[in-house]
Amino acid sequence: MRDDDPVSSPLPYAEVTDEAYATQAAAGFQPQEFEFAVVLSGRCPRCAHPSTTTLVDEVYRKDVAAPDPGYRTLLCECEAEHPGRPAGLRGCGAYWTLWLEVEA
Amino acid sequence: MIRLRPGPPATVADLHRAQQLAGLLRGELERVRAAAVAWRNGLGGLLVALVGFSLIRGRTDVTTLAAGWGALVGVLLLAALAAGVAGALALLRAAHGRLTVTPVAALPPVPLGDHLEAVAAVRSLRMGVGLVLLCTALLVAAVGVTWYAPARPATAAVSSPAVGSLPSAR
Repeated sequence: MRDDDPVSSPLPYAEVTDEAYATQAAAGFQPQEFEFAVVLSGRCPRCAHPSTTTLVDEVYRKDVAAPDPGYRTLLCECEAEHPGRPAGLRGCGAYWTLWLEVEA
Repeated sequence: MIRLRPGPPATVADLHRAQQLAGLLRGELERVRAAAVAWRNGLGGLLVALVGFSLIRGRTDVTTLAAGWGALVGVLLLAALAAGVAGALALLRAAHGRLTVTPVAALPPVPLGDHLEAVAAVRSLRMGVGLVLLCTALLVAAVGVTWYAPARPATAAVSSPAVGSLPSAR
């Protein structure tokens, strides 16, 4: 079974990345601009399930967060079941990074 | 228009940061609501303590103040009332949301809708805290004026010749 094929049996949860994920996501995800946020929708490069990620510039918090590196890290946030996923998390575990460039 | 470009190779630190941010975003509205309820209760208690238990109390009769000072006290109390009501409404809006309905067509995606509501609630919370503190300051100023403003000059005693007085006996 290849890791990036849509699968009939549930793909196990695994926190993995690959440079190809970013390339596929950059080509396949559709950005949608809202006030204070950008919503990226597409298929996860690993599990191929529909995934929607909301990117915001600010969030209310009480504890200290890590500094912003400039690029955005996306997680698979599909609704599908992936065995072995820790409680409180979503998706299949795949992650990758993207640059968001605003064109005039 | 936003264009997507592949980023640098992702690291475990990137993963943890993204997971942390996703968690913050998921629970954001609940945290803002909880903070707003705590601020509402705290500031409400402060005002009740100040007014209800008479921790600050001015003169009961402002007619004894010099001309103009009584009116100033009235303006300060009116401003305090307005600031207090507006602040209370802002705190309630932050803690419990707006009393409005949204057209279904205008609904944003679920996590984004919660984020937008959280941002609006934080703004209301800040405004409410500021207005309640302003209300308290105006109240204290009004009470201070009643105590330290100059008093109305005492009216001059009208002297009249004694009536029916007996001439002094010689």
